[in-house]
Amino acid sequence: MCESRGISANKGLLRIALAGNANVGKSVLFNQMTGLHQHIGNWPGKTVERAEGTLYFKGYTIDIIDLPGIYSLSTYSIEELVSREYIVDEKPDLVINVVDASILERNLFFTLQLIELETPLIITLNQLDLAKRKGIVIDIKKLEEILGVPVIPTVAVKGIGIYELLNKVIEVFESKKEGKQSVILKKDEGAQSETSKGVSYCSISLEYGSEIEERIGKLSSLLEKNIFRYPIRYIAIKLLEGDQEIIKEMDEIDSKISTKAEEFATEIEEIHNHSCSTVITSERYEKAGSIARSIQEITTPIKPLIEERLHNITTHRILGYPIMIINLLSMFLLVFTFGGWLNTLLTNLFSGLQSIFQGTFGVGPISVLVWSLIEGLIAGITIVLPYIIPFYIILYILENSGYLSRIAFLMDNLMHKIGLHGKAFIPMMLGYGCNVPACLGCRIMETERERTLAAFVNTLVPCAARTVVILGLVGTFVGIQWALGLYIFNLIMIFLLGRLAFKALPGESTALMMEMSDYKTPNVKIALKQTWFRVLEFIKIAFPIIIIGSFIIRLLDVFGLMQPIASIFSPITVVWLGLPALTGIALIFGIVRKELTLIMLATLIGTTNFRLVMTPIQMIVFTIVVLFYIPCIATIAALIKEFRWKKAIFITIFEIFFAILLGGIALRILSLFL
Amino acid sequence: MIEENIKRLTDLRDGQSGIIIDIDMMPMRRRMRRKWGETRGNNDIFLFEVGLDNEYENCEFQQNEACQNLSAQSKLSSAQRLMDLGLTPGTKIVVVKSAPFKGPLEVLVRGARMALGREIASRISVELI
Repeated sequence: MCESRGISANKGLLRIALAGNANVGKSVLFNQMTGLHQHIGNWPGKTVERAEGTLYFKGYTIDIIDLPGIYSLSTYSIEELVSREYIVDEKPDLVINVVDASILERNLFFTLQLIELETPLIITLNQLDLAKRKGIVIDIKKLEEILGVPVIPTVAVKGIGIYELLNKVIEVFESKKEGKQSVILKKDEGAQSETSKGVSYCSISLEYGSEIEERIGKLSSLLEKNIFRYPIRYIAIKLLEGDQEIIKEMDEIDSKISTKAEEFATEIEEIHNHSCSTVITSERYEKAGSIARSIQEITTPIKPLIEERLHNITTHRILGYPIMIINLLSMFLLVFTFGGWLNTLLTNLFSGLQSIFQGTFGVGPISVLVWSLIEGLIAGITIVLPYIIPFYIILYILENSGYLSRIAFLMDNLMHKIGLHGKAFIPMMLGYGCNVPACLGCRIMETERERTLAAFVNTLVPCAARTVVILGLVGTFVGIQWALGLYIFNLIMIFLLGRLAFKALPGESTALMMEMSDYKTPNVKIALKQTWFRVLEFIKIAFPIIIIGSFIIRLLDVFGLMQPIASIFSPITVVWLGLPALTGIALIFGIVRKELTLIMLATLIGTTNFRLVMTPIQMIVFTIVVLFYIPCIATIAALIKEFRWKKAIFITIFEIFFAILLGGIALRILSLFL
Repeated sequence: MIEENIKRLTDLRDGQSGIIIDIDMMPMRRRMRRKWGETRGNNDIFLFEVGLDNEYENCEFQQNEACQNLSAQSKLSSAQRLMDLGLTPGTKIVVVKSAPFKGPLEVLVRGARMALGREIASRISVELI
């Protein structure tokens, strides 16, 4: 939509960032503007999604970055830290502050901070359609006058206002280049700013109470001696608020400044009986509130909105839970029917390939090795992709519609028992199908610590492949009640290990403070787009790992190293776990795919009647090991992608040791009974 | 402020509203040594700004109290977070409903709907209106 038509002259590069609260429609706006010219990854070193895109408009190349949702520049979550750092360090040419027109007051709180930061700013007033239905009418001109920032009304989902927005972006950028300086106004002065083409580019300084302004003034004069990367007034305010990052920076330059700031902060504390940061935050909110009240008129609608009624049902004390269960089950079924269908389709597509390959290249060692690479690739395509594609689509639809937060609301206290909070329930539930999307889905948690904890717990959840082993081995040959018992045992272990990890991981659990934004009709097109880029990223990172893993295992096989390796492991497999030596090999193959443990075992003993080689106890012990030991290679790849090598390896090694330990103990305890 | 009308947020029934008085992070008198020197707080209820990092300063507590540095620290940054979300002293807050089994509270603040974990909600004191 926004491709330039025939304008070949490249006028230059613009870098803009979309910033604002969560759930205001930033991603929708981003997607509308960038189409398919997107790149989604992670912020370096963090498990926060980073979405960047490009568009071409009126001769300019515009790079857009969609910053994670941020409520305040006093950072709390890792997303807010990332957003703040980007705005300050990368200094984009323009920041588009996306504001939710239906929740003006809280959104303006952040806007006021952006103004204090003196970033070049344009405001988009988004979701005006929802605001209108809620009976909210906003005087946009007045808002522009009060804030001194251009305000563009938009309805991003419908594509309304986007062209005007981009026009304004260019306008502001060009007028900035022409050297129009920003003018800081004091409330009393009433000085007019320089305008050109009606574009006002001035800032109104936010006035706090006089006792605070006095101290800001004093700190500012202390600071004026140096040059900083932030505006001086902003630094003064942040020092009074006690912002650790700024204090650290100031200490390096002149520690007297922060001492003075602390002194002032204590004085304000004594005047108001609240900490200085509370006072400043309160006053800022009062300002946001008074601005909001002066520009909006609310006529409460007679009939409750459909979003309202939907919300009430889905969070209902009694009805909410069955509704959630139905939804989750359908989601689960959708992912697995679609996944299963796609899996069969792709498997059939590739099934003839092996014989063709062997027909052409023979079955010599080299051909087997080359084939293993292809096999790895096929495995990735046919096994993993069919499940993560529908998973991501459904996850994005759930997230964009707002239902995810209701699920978190309902499940929060239960998840607390494991040390996680409500949001962790969804990835965990999906882990019962496949651990890979479960681990990737952990990014919906707020802090790194919680993501790691959630991912760790998810690797313990028995995926479909492990279910194959439980049912195919124990269920069939020992008894269905034992199989059920194993599931319950697994849940108990998840609970215990979850709590253990919770205590062991440094940091504290975050209390649930979650916005439940109004329900929105999820945009399927956008969900598909988001899925597409996410899957692409996953393929780039995970596939090489899967392929190489498959190759290595085949390599060992070709060189006849399988038997020797099984013998090396026999102290563990035979002596400690009491299993036949062959199972060592089967377990190694299980690294690639868990079903392979059974498949390889059958291949090795030449029959699927496992009773011939294993006693019931051995079967149970074997299954316990399979349940808890090393996650499959695709899961490890997912862990690496989301959490980087160190954590992935740590979780893997821990689980190997844990599974072996557990298996051995189980053997000894079971031997007493059976 | 009438004493009987001062309650914890979790004491409010569905549909009741109150004006936030304070976020009660440290019910006992504490002394915290900050990075640059000692600061005294004279109030029973007060808040300090604390950064994101988990490095923590030493703190001294009255006798019979465990010095739970990390948990104190996270509670303080939670308080700041609540305020950033709009729960400042003097703000009207409405309890819409609470999830069963001592689950989170759904509240309405400044026109926005939020879920608050029970633990943190119990630390918010309000005046009933």
